Amino acid sequence: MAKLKSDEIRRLTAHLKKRTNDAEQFNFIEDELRGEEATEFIREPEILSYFTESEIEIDFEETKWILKMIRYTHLRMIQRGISRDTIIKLFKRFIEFCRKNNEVITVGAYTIFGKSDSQSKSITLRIDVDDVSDKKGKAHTVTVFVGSGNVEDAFFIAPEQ
Amino acid sequence: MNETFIESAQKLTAPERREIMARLLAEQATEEFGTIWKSVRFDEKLRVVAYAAEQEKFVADLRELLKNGALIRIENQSDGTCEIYGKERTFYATMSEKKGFVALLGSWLPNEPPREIFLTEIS
Repeated sequence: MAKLKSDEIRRLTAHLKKRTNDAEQFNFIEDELRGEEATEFIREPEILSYFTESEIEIDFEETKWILKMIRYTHLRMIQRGISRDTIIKLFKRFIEFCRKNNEVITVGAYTIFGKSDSQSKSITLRIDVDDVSDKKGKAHTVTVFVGSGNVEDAFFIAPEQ
Repeated sequence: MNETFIESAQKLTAPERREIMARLLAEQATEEFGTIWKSVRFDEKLRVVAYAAEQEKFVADLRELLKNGALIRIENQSDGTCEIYGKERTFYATMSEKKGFVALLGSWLPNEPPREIFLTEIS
């Protein structure tokens, strides 16, 4: 059980205020976000209804990728103030990195550690490459979710005694 | 210990080493690189959902695994993200242990752990 940081609460409440017309429901969610169990509250499926899943087509050197960001990713992006452009930029850099290092991207899971620019903090992206097809549209469907978020802020704990 | 064995182990990536450790150290919590390994077991009230549509087909398997007890490695306590090591599949999920809730985000076969990519800084 843990509280959210104040800037995380601010970003989440600002987003949710735009997404709900029900004042009573909004007040309930806001109370939960400010509560002692907020980090657990935002893992629940109910809160995800206020976030959206999106698909973005990315053309990269004659290859078309369909980058899907699930609702959970959107929630973590809002919580941490990570923009969609940042995720796209990191994903493009991932493709570029693999290309330069002659690493073939195949179906499966990837954990990507990086920064969107030299000023920003580290971001961990965990992605699943669901489909790689070179037929016609050369479509690649990828699910992206933000994992640890900011690695520097990750809270590590010791083993239980 | 066989030197070739050690050399082989050193060539493994961190996710590959975790896949092996998880199976060697089942039911035994141990520390590795500041992260935590622990075993969990849930009762019938456990709720398991998939947050990625592609993972829905694995929800039943994950639920069964967690009811029987499984070894997990917590990645980030604030997010509740963890890797859950099953005999035939490893799951990546966000978990609220006290609330008996697990949301599946991804999964892979033990011999195909996530590939780690470290992007260098943009100059």
